[in-house]
Amino acid sequence: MDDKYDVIIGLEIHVQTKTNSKMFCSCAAEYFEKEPNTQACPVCAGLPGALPVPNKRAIEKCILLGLATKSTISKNIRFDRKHYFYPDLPKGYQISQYDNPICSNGFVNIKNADGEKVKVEIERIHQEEDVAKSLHVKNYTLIDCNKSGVPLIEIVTKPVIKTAFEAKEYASKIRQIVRYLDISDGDMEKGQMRCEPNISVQKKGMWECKDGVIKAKKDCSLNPKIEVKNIGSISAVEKAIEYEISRLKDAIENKEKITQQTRGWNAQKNITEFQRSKESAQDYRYCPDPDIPIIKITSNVLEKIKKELVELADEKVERYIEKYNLSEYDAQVITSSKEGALFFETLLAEVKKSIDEKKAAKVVANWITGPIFAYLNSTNKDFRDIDYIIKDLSELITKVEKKEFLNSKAKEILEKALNEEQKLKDLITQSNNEIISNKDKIKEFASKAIEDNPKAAKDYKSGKTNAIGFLTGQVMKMSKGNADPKLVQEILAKLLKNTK
Amino acid sequence: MTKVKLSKKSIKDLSSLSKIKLTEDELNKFTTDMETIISSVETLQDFDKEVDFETKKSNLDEVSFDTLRKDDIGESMSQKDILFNAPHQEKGYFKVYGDIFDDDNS
Repeated sequence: MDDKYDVIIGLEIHVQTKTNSKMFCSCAAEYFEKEPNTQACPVCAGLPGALPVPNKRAIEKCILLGLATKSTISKNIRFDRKHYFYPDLPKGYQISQYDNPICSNGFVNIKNADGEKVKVEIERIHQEEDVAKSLHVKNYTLIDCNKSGVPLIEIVTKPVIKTAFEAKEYASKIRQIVRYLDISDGDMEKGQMRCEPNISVQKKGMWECKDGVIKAKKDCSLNPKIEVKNIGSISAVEKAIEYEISRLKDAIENKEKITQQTRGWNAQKNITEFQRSKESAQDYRYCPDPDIPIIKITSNVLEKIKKELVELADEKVERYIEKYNLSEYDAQVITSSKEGALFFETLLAEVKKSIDEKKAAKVVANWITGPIFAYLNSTNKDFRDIDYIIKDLSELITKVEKKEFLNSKAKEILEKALNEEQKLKDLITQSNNEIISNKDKIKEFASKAIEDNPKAAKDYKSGKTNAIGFLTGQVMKMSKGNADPKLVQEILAKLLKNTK
Repeated sequence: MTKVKLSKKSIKDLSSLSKIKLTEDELNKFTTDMETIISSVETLQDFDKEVDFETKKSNLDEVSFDTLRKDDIGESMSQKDILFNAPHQEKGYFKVYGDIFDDDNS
């Protein structure tokens, strides 16, 4: 069936900007768990005569996202009114941008399911305001204007995404970028980021894409597109699209009529459900907002905002591979969050003081992708919670690399320290003493092992070198795992050589 | 004043966008009313044929970026004040009746 159809997906992502105040008034923007309607003013409530005044920081952050996605930045920022009737929008229109978005024609790179690089073109990134929160109760609705007017950035791709997997990867990439640049926390569960895919399934050869618009070829007709809302997580982006693709293909196969509509993702049932037929752009009656002047963006302004660009995950991955010889997998895992990358770089800076940089990078990467990630995943913590450990951890790693410390033992005490049973520094000092005294003990254990197992000793001397493995095992047992197996073998070999 | 003709369908579309249900009688009445309203606005066309509305569209004041509002938190209204004129309220929320709540439109 897949050979007969093309899947066309465009993604709209809304991101709440992390600012102190709202987009067009100075009410506080952080509304989570606040008493309803305590952070609202005539602007938020849409009272007649209220005058919106744009938030400079919010626009800076929108431009920053545009720069990070290689978009063209508009020199004249203009706002428009988008009209629709709904109680979550008390003034009857949303202040948004229509034909002149702040950023246009950008892109991000992602990897498709086969690991190939795919460019996702971004048509526009524009600034708007969030609407009020509505709580539906029986036959009425409760409205809280605390959320109304929170700065909201909308990012719209061209209809270039081909699979549910790519859509998910793209959404994660956008979330990663806004988090790296501190534009937003991008928490989908809290509604700080919302993904709304537009999906259509077309018969192969019936359509073409001109200037980012899907058009029917001559004598062909297009199947309508479906918008899916209420997607509450990145993984649900993929699931919802997969569901919708198969629903649409079935509908075409069964010759059912498909109508343009908005559907909602039901995460309990794992299905999409009909919500409403979609209003068209014409129905929104966009017009320039006469309350807000045109904002001039000069090259000086852009230069100033450019200074806020930081090295993003993709660039870090490239650098880690090039400079440190890390595997692509390790580099990606470590840079998946800004905090992870910072932890890696800080720890590496310490460790490379005593170990060659490339080797240090590989070792540090192994510690992070191994025990550190295991700990963070099992405790639901993030790197910021454990950055206190960097200095001591670098000491521990250096000791392990210099063979002054057992790897297994080191992991054991790191876990203890992370669980805050004891300070890592103290644990290192204690265990260190144990190992040093063990060095003498190993000889003792080794002699005993040879004495107790004359056959193995004889076998070794007669050329069956495997026998040393058995003897090593005996010594490890006696040392309760506190000995370095390599060292044990060395000592055993020496002793065996000297015994008759 | 030239009389503009509107179809009943336009008024129906408008009422559905506004989520207002109209009876057949109301539909007829509003169609005539809207024709009168649009016709009177049409008068503007005769007023100045020289006005280029496309240019006017961007004829707003211009400001420099640096004059925009700083991102500082100011005072909000109290819950009591913001709800003062609301005909219906509950637990600090505005309360709205009706069957137009199909979903969140943001």
